[in-house]
Amino acid sequence: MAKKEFSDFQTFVILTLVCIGAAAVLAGVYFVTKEPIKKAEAKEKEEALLFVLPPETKKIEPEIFSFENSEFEIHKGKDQGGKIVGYALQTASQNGYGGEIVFLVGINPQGTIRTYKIMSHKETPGLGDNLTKDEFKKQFIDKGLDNFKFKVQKDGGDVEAITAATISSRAGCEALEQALTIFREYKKAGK
Amino acid sequence: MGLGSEFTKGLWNRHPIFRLLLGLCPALAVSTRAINAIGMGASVIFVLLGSNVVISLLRKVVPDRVRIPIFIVVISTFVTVVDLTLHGFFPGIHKALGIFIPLIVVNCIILGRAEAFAQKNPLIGAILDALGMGLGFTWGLLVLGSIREILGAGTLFGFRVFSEDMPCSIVMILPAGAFLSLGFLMALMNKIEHMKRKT
Repeated sequence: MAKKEFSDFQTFVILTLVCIGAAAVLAGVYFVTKEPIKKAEAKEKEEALLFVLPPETKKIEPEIFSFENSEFEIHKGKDQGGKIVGYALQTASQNGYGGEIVFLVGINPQGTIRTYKIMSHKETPGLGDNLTKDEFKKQFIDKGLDNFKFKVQKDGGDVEAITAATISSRAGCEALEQALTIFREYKKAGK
Repeated sequence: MGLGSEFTKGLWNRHPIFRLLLGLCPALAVSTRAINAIGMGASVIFVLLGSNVVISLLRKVVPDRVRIPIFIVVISTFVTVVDLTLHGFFPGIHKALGIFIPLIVVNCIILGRAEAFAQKNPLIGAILDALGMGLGFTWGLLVLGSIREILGAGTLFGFRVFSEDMPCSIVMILPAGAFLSLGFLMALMNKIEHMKRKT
């Protein structure tokens, strides 16, 4: 069966119609999913914040803190009475084995780590991704810049690295130390 | 080929992963856990169905020399619909599949079926072909994912199969394990076919 020959003009019209049709479908779906996507992302953020902030937190207040030409978003967790019970700060290390690791760090008012949640990473499953496990996390609880050296033991610090995942461990230390350093500057700025 | 076999060919004889060797990139990358097979499989079935249907319906008005751009526009539209829908209504799955959702656009199965089948066949055949290939792809992912999850993490669909103390070979979750599993499964399938032919 011979294929029908289309003129250049017909080809042009068909291509244009197909693209217009596709654009229309995409625009429609975009509008239908716009709100649900925003809500899903906000929900994920809120759940992460509630995880790193203490359970007494009833209200979360974000604040932008400018320091060394960068802006940081610090979330203050306030209890029923309006007293600040904790802070949450997002930092990232670009030196993970697979690239960027994003941490959401929960910080106690006195400047020590309450806990953290890893928001995204590309570390090796079973090795670097043990950064997310309590095994590794628990050594950081209640530790601050004054009573803990945020480097792996190999580098002269206090951190017990994950076996066979030194690079991931170093990246974790970097991100956590950065969070505490920014928090210290924030406090110094009189907030 | 009868209509029935248009559907069943994708499930075994012309299995997209193990026989046609199409869609290997997502198959290998996403099959780290059994549960991913469900999300990825459903997405691919939806896109395959959509693109096969549209391309089959348009087959008489698609000029031959611009068919590839038109196929790609159709396919990527459906993939974007899947991406946005998952992001908005099933964020957990969206996060698990991550970058492999947009990569469905270049999943050879979809363009392959469009080129080899949908543009030359009427609607019913195109629908059955899409369903067969999609379901075949899904069960392939399920088997691959199950093997890799059980041997690599000791769980299946998140449930513990081996006790925590049993050593697991992490390599199964990594790319090398993916290729190993695929190779063995293909050999197994060839062996079964070989034995079938003997009888």
